[in-house]
Amino acid sequence: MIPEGLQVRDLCTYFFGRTSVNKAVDGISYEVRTGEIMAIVGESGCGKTVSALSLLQLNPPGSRIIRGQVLWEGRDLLRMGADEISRIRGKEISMVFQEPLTALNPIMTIGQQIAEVFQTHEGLDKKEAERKTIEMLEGVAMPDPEKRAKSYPFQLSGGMRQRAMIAMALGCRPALLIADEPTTAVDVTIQAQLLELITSVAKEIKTTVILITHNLGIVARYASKIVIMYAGKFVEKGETAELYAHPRHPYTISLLKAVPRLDQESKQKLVTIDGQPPPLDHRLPPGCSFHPRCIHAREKCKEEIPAFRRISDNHEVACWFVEG
Amino acid sequence: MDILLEVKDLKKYFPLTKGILRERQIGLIKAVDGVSFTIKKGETLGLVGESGCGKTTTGRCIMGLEEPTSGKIIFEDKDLGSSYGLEFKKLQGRVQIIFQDPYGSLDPRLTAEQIIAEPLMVEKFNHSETREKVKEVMGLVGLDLEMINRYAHMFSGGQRQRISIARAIIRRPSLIVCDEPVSALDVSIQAQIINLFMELQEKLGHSYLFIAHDLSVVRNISDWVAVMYLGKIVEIVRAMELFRKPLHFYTRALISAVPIPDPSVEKERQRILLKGEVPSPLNPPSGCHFHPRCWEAKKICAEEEPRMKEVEPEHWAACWVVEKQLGSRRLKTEGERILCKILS
Amino acid sequence: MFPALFIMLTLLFFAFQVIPGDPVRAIFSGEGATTLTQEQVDYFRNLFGLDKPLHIRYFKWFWDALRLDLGLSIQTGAEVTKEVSTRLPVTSTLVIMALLITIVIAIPFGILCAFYQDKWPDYVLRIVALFALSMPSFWVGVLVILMFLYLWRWFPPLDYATIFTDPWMTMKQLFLPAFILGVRPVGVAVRVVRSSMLEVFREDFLRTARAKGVIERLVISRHALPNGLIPVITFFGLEAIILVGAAVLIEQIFAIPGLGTLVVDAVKARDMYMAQGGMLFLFILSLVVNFIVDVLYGVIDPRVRHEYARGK
Repeated sequence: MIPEGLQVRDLCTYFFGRTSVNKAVDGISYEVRTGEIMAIVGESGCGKTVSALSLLQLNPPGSRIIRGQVLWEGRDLLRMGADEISRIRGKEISMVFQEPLTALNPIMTIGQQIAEVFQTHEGLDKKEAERKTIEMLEGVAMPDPEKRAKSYPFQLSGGMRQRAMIAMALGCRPALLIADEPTTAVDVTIQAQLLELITSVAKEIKTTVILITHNLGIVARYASKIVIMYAGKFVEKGETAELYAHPRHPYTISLLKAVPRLDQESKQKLVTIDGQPPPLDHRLPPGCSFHPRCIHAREKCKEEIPAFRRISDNHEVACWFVEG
Repeated sequence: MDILLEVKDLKKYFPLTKGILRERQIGLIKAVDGVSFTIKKGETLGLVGESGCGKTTTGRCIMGLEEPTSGKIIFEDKDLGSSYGLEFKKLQGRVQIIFQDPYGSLDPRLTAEQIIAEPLMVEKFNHSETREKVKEVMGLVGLDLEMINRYAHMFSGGQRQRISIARAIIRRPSLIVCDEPVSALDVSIQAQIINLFMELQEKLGHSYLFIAHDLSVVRNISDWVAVMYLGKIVEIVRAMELFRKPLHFYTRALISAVPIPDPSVEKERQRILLKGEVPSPLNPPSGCHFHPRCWEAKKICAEEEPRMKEVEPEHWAACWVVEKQLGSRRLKTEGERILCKILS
Repeated sequence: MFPALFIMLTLLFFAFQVIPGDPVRAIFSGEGATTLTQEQVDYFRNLFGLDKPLHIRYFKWFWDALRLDLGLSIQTGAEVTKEVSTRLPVTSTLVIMALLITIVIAIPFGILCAFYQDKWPDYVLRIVALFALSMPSFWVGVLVILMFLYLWRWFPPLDYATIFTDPWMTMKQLFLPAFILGVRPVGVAVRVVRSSMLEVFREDFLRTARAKGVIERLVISRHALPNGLIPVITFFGLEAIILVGAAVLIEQIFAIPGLGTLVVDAVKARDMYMAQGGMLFLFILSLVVNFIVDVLYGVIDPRVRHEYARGK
């Protein structure tokens, strides 16, 4: 039986510098079922972007996926050759990136860039591709689609550029969409528009979404499942409601307490933890990477990397302090 | 009087010119278009809005980095009026600024000490006195004293912001203008810096003009919040009330757009989706600038610009519909209030 | 463009006033020269307008130049404009051929270097480029001629065809000098192309193209290359102007009857008008090339076309 959705097993992507190895992604595993919206949450540098790029073998130069499996429809994406994976990218699995100004070719019109998806995967000729492009732009609520299709990226606002990117990504109705911080670069009201757009279109064409973000609010609103990432590893996974109500990993707990909330009393001190996330090279703390900042740290935490323990049906934690 | 800063009808227009030999004006960007507010001693006013609303320009005018096109800025009872540049120089030290980008706003080739001591160059302290002061503020902001001689580029983002803050407080200003000071920081570091802001305010008693686009952060750190849209303030209210009872429709949309990190709360919230984009400040809509996107817009909204009125106690809004809805109960402009005070 | 022209005309004029030696005497001081009487000197000076005051000469020359009358050659009496315009195509062909050769060689090599960054092809090509740009063109020219002479008893042509009379012959004849002229620019260009391409390779939009499923070959040719070549256009614009200067030397070595030799000979003979006229045309050639570069820029980069400066 071909398992549905995406299964990631022990993915490791390291950066190899002249003198050091940077363990950007260090053994992460997860599953996303069809139709879910899963969020990978973490602060900058935790490896979430690299992990997403690795799924499609798009990991940055200087890095290598040294082990792991990414099972999609029974095939391992990491073992595919360049031609094979090119056929999957943009057609079965698509990505939307964070900064649309740099993510778009500055000297091609956005119409040409969107049409490229159709020309690549569906072999459409220029006219057909153009027609479909306009259709997609209408689908993403781009104001004045015909005019915008002939515009260049620098002529559009941030929100419009992101719509163009979404149109590009969803053009071939992919089964999986990976959105890497898609709204970090735009204003909050545009953010709301874009996220509503992504989630509603995804629902309509039955696309699974992996949402990568550091914004705990967005996750609470849109994601059904989340994983928390810290220093290249996952520390907690679970269903959104459960995780927010009963966070167990000390990092998750502190993260939730550190975020200012709109419905809180004002001028309240936020609960913070000292220090900052560790560098991912040889200076990475042994054992549990979080132990230097953890108030519950014990001897075991300094020695062994914690394994995942199941707390309930939909909740797992990697922490020695938490009893399963 | 415990009012530290009073801004009255501040305007800053940027002319757009074209042509090489004879520059002709082809447009006017009304970045700040009649902004008024006050900040009391020891209080924090959060100025919030999306990109292009004019909040940064407002901050820069108050700091003296931009010369206002018109309007009054009264700081510590002194009118910073027409001899703008000169007056401002005398004030330097009483008002300080902290910038957004911790990586761009510090000269990477200077040491922490040099950066922090820079404002003191105006006063003639000798080397050891300067050092003492630098150490003092480093302690206040939580920087390790051993790092006093490190170069700026060796510090992390959060540490750099601490350096910026240390530099800002070394002359014990009465007002600190903060322009997006935490947006570039990670969640956990952001929380540390936000706490630091509040701690310092408790200890040293200065006021903040906190400019940011992140409503949650602004709400947390401020006593009062002013919401800006296309160069105008649309609502001013106490921070706690902002979430409980936003009146202006833009504010309502803004709040609805900000997700709260709590799924159970999120489920119950109403979602308002604004259509379209923020119009260009070159060509703002007539009347109330928000009317094309407002779902409650009436005829008058397109015709006349609403003025800020105190529609409820300690709650100002610039909206015809809100004004009407709240009836004739307590509609008082600033002038009317003073009149009432005089009469009673 | 026009202010530049104006300044250039003025500078040209005054430059030649500074050159020592009286034109008339210089011309008649060659072999078999007769000593002139003062009367004869005066006559010739009057003929060429050399006895008029400085500012009058300046305005007259300026005004004439604008109407493309560059005066008469003091040496030969021929019309300067005619001489110069005959020679212009030769030099232009030489420079354009050199540019084309440079483009054809440097761009692929530069891309190769970027592609194989820090691997052996990159190092080898960069060292070769370093050699190329360190060798002055005239030195290479002389060396090559000597070599050809020795190995194949080959002599540079004595009579050059022009592009209008016999294009194929022209190209054959000018190929070697153009190639030599192009050696140095190739050396510099390879590095420019390499660094520009390397920068483009780091750009995010290439990653987007791959994420769309575009195959690597097309990612490079369709997305990376056009963006990477934009700064290279600027470089070629600048290089072309330098080439015009270098062409003068090459023309001397290969005895090519171009603008370069014309000007050099004229200066040697103190033939003021011819020299000025020749220089002017060389200058116009440079201006035209510059202009073409600007236009090309606008064609390729839409941001330039739309006055890119639309900040938020």
